[in-house]
Amino acid sequence: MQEYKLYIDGEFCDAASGKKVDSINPATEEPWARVARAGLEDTERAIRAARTAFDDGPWPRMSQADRAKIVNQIADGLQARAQEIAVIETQDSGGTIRKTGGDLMLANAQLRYFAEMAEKLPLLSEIEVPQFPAQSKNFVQREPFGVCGQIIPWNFPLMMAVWKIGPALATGNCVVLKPATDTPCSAFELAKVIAESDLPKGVVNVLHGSGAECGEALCTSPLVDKVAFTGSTAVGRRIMQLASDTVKKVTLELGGKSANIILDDADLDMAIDGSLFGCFFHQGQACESGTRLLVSEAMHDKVVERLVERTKLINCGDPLDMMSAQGPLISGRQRESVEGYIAAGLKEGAKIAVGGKRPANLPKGYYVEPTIFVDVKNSMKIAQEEIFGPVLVVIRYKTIDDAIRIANDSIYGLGGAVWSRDDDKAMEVAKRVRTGTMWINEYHMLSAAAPFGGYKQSGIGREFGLDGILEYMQIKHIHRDEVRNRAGKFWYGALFGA
Amino acid sequence: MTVVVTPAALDVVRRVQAARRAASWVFVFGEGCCEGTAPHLFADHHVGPTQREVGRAGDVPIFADAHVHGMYAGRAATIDVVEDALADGFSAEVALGYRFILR
Repeated sequence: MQEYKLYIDGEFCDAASGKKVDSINPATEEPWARVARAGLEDTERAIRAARTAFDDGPWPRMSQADRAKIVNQIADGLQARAQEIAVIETQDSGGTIRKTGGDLMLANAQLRYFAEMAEKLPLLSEIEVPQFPAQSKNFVQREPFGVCGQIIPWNFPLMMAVWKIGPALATGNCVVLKPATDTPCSAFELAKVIAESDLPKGVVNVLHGSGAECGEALCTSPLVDKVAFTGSTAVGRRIMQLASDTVKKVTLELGGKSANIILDDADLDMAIDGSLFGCFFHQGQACESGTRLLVSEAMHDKVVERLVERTKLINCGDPLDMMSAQGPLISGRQRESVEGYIAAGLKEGAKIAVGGKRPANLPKGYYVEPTIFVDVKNSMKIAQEEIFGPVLVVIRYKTIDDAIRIANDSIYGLGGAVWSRDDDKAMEVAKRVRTGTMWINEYHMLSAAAPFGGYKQSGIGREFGLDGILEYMQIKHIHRDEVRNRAGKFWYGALFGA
Repeated sequence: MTVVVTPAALDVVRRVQAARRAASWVFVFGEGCCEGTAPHLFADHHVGPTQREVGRAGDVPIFADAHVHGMYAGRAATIDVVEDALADGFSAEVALGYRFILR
């Protein structure tokens, strides 16, 4: 069985407690890797390593160009091992090889983008301060933020690690990364790539441990400057509270219940497949998934009929098989939760148009059929809570205004889409939905160059793009006197005589 | 919404309280995402004005926010506990190898 150790201060090591746990392959329900499980002591050691690397090490003081070289080295290392790591991640997470292979390809390109972006960013720029013409020069200096605690979920284990460490490293920060306990393996493969690069020791530390132990310590430690978290809204709130004692900067990317709106003039072939991809991609375990499908009364029956037809073609199966469209859910615990939502939907009076069960041909693995609910009201539990499984709810709207009202009737605002042949009309709808990302005739297209993040209870701050890079930088104002004459400057000259 | 607690879950609550010093304890609920509507047992956690008390686990109040409360309106739910060496999350019982679940 594959063994993984913690990565602290440039060394792979066992947990101080000696504790190890098995990582489960969701397709076989069998343990497939053994991973050291960090506790409080390991977390504190990792934080101290990152602190020392930041306060005394070369990393935050290197030129952007030199840092970019090392980040690109890591990207090269990932690229060279992409296929191997994709297979590891598929076994650890249940993501289809089509998905994890794609993630690996994107991940190294994203790292290169962060490095390039950071290199272009001027670190010292002069600003005009009109109140003081000619009396001073004023500068804005951008500096690395410090030690960043980064806590990521199990749905995009490697890519999410890159989304977190990429902008942090490119801008000179030091990091303690905590992958989800269900999916630690690819993060430790990334640590191996990092260990082979020229990155100074202690700049990146990777821990496998629970939120209650490692996560809480990252949020409360006075040695940590910023916490970046992707996960559930309830934990996001907890993180803000924990971080408040030391007034840390917090960025959060949280849940979603995104609306996917099909307008009557949409290209239906595209809208149907796009909507299924928008919801069922990675078994619905993506925070930006389009899980509420809004369809007009007039189009409803036709759309549902075609959704059901196409859904029946989606084949669940071995995620290592290139022909599998859908793999298992992450864990038995998650499958229970999803099945609980399916039962709740039925109890509230919604009807299943297709799916709703475990696939009969797959006795092993945490599979759930792609499931579509109709006769759903937006106030139902299945329309308000993020199910995080392959469950699509179809809601009827009367007018476009009604569709937008329903779309916005959610505590979340992370993703969403509108399908229409009329660009102007689609743009109008896109502008009116209170959400961080809207796709027009598309879904799930995230880019390292475009800001991603939530409105409302879907989060704080942005990842990607210039906005995402700036989340990892402190801003300092430097004011330089240009009068160079004591007498003309301070009150005291006038009050007391020079 | 009313919430009751199984004796096994109450036992774990007491063990968590014994293992860790805190001024106060509270249960709150998730609302979907990677953790479903899992109960979270938090030490020294601020509960906002939209939260309503829906039960007690011994001396620990159980709060649900308006959203979760509405979802479960008129229904009873039970907090139970399972052993889970792989549990993640910030809920305090995780550190002892348990996980609370809502039934």
